[in-house]
Amino acid sequence: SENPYAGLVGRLRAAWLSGKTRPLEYRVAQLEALGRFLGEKQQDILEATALDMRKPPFEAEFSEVLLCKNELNEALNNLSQWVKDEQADKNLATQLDSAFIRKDPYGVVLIIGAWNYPIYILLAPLIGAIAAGNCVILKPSEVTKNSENLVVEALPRYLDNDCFAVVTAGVEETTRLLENKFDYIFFTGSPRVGRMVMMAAAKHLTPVTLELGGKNPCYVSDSCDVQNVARRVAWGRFFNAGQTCIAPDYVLCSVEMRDKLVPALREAITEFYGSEPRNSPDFARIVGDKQFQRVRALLSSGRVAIGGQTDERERYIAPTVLVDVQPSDPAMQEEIFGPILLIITVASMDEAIDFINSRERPLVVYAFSSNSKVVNQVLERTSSGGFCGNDTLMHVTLTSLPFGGIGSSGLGMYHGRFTFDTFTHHRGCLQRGAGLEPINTLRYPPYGAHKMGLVRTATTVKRRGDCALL
Amino acid sequence: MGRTQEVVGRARAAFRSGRSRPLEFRMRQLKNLERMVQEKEREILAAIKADLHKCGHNAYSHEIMGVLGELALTMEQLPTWAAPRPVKKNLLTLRDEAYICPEPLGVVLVIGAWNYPFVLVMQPLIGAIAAGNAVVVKPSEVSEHTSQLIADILPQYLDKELYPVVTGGVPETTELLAQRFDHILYTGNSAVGKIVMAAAAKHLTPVTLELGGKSPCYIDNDCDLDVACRRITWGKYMNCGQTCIAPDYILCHPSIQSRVVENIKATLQEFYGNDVKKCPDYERIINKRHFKRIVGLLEGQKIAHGGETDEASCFIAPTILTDVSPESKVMEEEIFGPVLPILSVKSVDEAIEFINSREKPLALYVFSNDKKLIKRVISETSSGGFTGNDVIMHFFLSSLPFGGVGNSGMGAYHGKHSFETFSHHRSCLIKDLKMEGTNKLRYPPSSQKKLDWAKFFVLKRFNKGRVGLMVLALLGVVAALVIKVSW
Repeated sequence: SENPYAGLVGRLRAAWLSGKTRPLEYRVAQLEALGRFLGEKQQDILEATALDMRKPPFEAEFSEVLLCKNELNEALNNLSQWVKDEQADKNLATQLDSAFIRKDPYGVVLIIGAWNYPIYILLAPLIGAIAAGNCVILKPSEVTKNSENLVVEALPRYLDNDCFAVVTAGVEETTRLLENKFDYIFFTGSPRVGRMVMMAAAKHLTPVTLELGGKNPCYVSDSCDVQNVARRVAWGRFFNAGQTCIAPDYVLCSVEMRDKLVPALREAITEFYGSEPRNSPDFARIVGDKQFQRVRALLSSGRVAIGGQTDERERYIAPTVLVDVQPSDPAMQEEIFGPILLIITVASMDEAIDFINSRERPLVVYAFSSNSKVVNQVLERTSSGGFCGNDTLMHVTLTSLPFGGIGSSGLGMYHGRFTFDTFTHHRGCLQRGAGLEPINTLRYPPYGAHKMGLVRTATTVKRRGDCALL
Repeated sequence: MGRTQEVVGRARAAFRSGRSRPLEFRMRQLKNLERMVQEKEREILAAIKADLHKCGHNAYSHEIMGVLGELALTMEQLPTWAAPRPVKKNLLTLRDEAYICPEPLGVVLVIGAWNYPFVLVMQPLIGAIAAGNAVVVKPSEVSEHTSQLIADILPQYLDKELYPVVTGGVPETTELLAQRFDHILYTGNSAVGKIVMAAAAKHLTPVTLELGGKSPCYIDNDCDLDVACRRITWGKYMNCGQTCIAPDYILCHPSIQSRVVENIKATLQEFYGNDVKKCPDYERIINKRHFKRIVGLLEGQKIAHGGETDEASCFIAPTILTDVSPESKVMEEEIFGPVLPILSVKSVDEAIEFINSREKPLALYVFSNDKKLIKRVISETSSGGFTGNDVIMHFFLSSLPFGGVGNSGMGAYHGKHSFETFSHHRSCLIKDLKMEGTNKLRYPPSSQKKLDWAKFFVLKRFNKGRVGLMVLALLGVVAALVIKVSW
């Protein structure tokens, strides 16, 4: 049977071939329209995410709106620079030529969103894709129904529907959607689905960016301001009820530090959410029943030191800290993606580093220490998408830092200019003149020994300091 | 499964030991590689000759010159490329360290091709070593002499565990592709490219695919036809047409077609003399399979020049076809041989439409004195790379990223682009454990006041120019102090 999305993809491809999305003015106009969407629909975004997962208005405004506006302004401020041909260094043979890197859009790109930050994760890539001159098909997550509806209904009223479309699709439909040929696919989600997306992309030789996840370790050294650490770690862990790809997943620290950290975490949690977090307007809920069951099952790992309460009706899981967790426990087998912080004790920083390196490379590694040498050691001896010392989550608020994973936490990167570059084909261009043909004769046959000698002399690149006579 | 698994496992263990990471180590390996190319030049040229019937001059300029240049550039620039790159900070991170740290990916797989069997393995290898990785090298078995030579000499100069060579055909390559790598760079055709990407997908391994396609060459009426045809002749028939960026076919106005043919014929005479078969500067088709494939493309075509073949020596004379139909077999696949079809188009518009109705090529060529026309073709088409008024040459400028788009590939390399391809760009933000004051903005319980402050610190504004930025920064510092005091 014919692919249900073939017509839509065909329509966008025709729009792409018409060249409509390429002029700078067009891109700017669409981005400004997106800005109006964010401004005019801000309240709707807050309401939709509140309905979807009881996302606190502060969190929603900060992570879904503010960060998007940042990306938008970054693009609008710099787009005229980004689209320019980049002049390339020339060698001796090309001194009189023009050599540059042209920024070409790919064509029709697909952006698949995720449910934890349903607006930001969809719009941040969209901004770069539009900036780069592409046509875009957006597939918001079907898990967050209210946010999905908002995007489906409102976004098309702001953007040019010839070139930008929103589709709704569950698992089956997404599989069919992926059967079509796209010129780029940007996916945010789990490694398992990431593999499927890349497999589908391989059939059409479509390049991809995969923003995936993993278990983000958080090393806390013995020398640190425990209360500050506790606050920063708790904030990063319990933001969005733990449903953040870069949340600290588990803490590695000494027994002594753990014994200081637990009460400090308790204090921080109380500071943030009061004595009954369930009643705090600043604490979110798990997005759906399936996810709730999954996270709740992880509570059986180790021992509950803080929290542990749940309410199935509300999909509430209290800010929880588990201690005495073993690497073989269920909570250590998968990314937690919930408001549960694990504490695993290690004897030393070296042991912590070995522990981290024996596992899949995460999206981010965190290290807390008042000793900068310790922070740098952890940085240098581990590998991860990104790294943040002495804080959590904050590295993604800087649009000048690329955001992406490595290994099973992802491939490719975005944010700021990197999003534009992601959706751009960097085309090497050399423009020569018809003149100076005599120089070219060096390369033409017939070849005699004399030509070889000339070629060698003219093209040998000597290392500085090499003696030419030797 | 045993052997390749062992080899890859050893490379991974060697990478884990950390010894490929220090700059001094990488430089030493690169220096050794340079020594290898210089000391083994004769053997390398001999192997390439045995595989492709390529004369010393060609082999040197195609395969050795570029490698030496790349090595020299890389060794000179590596300290700069590998250094942490500070980034622009916002108000909230003014006092922090924020930078991008290029890091090795891990164990890289480089799969070479047979048409330029040495350089297509060496150039990626140089970039992968420079970026601090372990590299498994798999030269093409089709160019068997060069493949064997690489397997022999590489271990004599490089760390054997970190940079092993795996030889073999499809079974060995399949075995290799089942292993986990941290990046795969493959040079070859699109069909196998899909297989490589699918295998990589299982491990979420990023790939660079240097594939191919039919690189079009548009000749405008307004151009120096003499020069154009000479350059095209050089690029088309070098390596007997077996070049991924060779001009595959010509598009031109029917009124100049015969002049184009005459010019190319004259140039061929200049280059290869009266008896091409006897000329030492003309290569051969790599093997019988490809020979038969290319000969098959000539069926039913109008041969304006050439067409002589000799299966025993895999010789195909430089051939020109005229009045070629877009639907014919020779226009369906990448020719990869010394056969040049000429198709008629009435205008540049028709040429652009023709090009855009087909898969995106690896290279695109336009010959014209009209700069505006060239600009237009670039802007209205898409291709991996582009050279105007010449062919092939964008390949030799390492400051230009070399790679395909769409069916012709993904990713790019050469020069610094190789280093970037084989590196992970790790974002690093190092904050202070003190200065908790500003952090309190973001902690619950939330309030409008907190949100307003958060916006102030995090939200980018439209550029107000440098002065505006400084004032903003000053305000930010004041604000930070105020908050610290007031909370």
